[in-house]
Amino acid sequence: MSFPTVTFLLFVAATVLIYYIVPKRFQWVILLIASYIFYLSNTIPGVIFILFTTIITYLFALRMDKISDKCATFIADNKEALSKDELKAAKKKFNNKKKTWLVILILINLGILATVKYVPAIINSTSIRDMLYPDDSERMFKILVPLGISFYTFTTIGYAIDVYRNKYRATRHIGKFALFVSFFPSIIQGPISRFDDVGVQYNQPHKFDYDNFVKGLELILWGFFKKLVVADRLHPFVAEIFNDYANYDGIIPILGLLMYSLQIYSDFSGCIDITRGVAALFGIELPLNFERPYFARSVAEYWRRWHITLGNWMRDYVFFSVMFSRPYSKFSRFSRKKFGNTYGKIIPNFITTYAVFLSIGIWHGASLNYVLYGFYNATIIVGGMLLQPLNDKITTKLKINKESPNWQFFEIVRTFTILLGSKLLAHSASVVDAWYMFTSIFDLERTLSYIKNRTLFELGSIGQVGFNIVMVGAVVILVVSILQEHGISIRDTLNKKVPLIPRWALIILFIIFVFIYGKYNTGTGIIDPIYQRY
Amino acid sequence: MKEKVIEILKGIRSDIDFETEDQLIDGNIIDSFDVVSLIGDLTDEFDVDITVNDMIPENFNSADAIVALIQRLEDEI
Repeated sequence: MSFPTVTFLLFVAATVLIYYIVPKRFQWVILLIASYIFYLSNTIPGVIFILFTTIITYLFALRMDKISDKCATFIADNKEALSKDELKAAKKKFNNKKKTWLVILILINLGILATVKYVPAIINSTSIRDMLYPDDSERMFKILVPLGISFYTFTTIGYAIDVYRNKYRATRHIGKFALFVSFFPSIIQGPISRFDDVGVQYNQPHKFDYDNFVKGLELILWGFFKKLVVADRLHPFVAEIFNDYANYDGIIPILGLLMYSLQIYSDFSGCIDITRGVAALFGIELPLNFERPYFARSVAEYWRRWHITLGNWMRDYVFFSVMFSRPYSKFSRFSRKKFGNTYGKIIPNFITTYAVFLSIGIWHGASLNYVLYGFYNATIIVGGMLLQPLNDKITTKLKINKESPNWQFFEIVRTFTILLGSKLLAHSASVVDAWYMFTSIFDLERTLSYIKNRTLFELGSIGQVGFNIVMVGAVVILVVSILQEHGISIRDTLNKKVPLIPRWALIILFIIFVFIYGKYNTGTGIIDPIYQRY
Repeated sequence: MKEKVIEILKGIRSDIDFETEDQLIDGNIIDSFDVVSLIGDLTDEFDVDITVNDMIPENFNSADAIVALIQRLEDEI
């Protein structure tokens, strides 16, 4: 069962109906059953993996909680008898015990993730594959990749680290914890949730709230518009250019990259809108994952606006873990003393920035292009930090007003252009392909014949009409995004300021628009959400 | 204690009046990397354990807030 299908919508409708009929204390049970039905409909053996991770994380977190309790009791009982230093030493011992449990848990969970994601890639790119299948040069080594494993692994590790850090107590309720890990709207591609934000919502009774429900439906509709009218329509066009890259040069690879940027944004953010909209139907609020990333004025800002929950996860659990470690702290102060406040501060930043972005790269996949993708983004950000003083000097000298709309526009275009390199690395089959596509941009021979013969719309058989629909869709997304940047919420305006009949007329017209102009495929032709593969 | 805190803060940014400034984080005067340096210095100076959970703007917005944080942590084991 995939997102852009009628089966999925019927499944959601049935679950919503039962959810609001049953007594409120059983609502979480309905969501848990629905989540496991959804999971089993996609993969039956995969369920063993998610169950294992759920149970082991639940048990290890309880264990860490117990150690915290023991520590608190020990300190309370010995407060008078022992000195402060002795108590601190005892606390450290308890903490080390907790850390051992945490490290084992992370190693198990990451070990499973790494095995299913990276082992096949490593085997297939080395001579081990030839040893496994000596008579079949086409055959690739494959193992089952459980649905949503990258997302639920990060969700559970985040939970365990929070419990370790005493941010909150471990939950005693395994059923609600299992729901937190497997909640069906977000299992495929996030957002990566936090237990103290989303997990606690399953404890609350959810009364049917008409306004919230309508807002959820509108968000789902908007998500389907982005996914079906723009992303899926563009899919064959982009696939043709990236798969058959050797045949295209000049403006075609540039167009391919631009259209891929539009496709990936519409696909990922559209599916997240569907996810958040479906969750809203149950009265569950999931975190934002996008804040109009292509309006970012720097690459660092882009990463605060794109896949926000992954960025926040990296900040809280990788970045802070490195930053709060003793060796890092020592190095940071040594660097400041040695190189002064400006550069002395930047040098330790290099370490954390590269650590975070290489992690983001590897999270996406096992190939060299994802490693380079992380390296590219980190280098741009680090370069930006290094060049900041020079940049400030130049802009002051040229009397550029950094807050003027023209300068802001320049920064947005500059950032977007730099990011095209990152997209090229992420979407090419290999680094060699990416490099070939990049160099072919400067060869204009074939481009001219394309423009002359007007065969551009034959790419991936998108057709001129199809291409025009995509462009209209892109303009609609752009206008809505500009309004949102100015703090205008389309849904709030529609629901609060437009009277009932014109409001519903507009919504129904939009549904018809999506229905007519959306691109549907059935059976094996369904275009799964792009981020499902990560 | 406040004098010592201000002296440490001056080591990170010498151009700020830390006596009166109360928007150090919310006003983007010091960033998260400054805070990490600061935490290292405070840990050494006052022998307290500052953790990730203490990384909230309210704890670092002013010299007084930092003093309050250290006093709270000194009382804790």
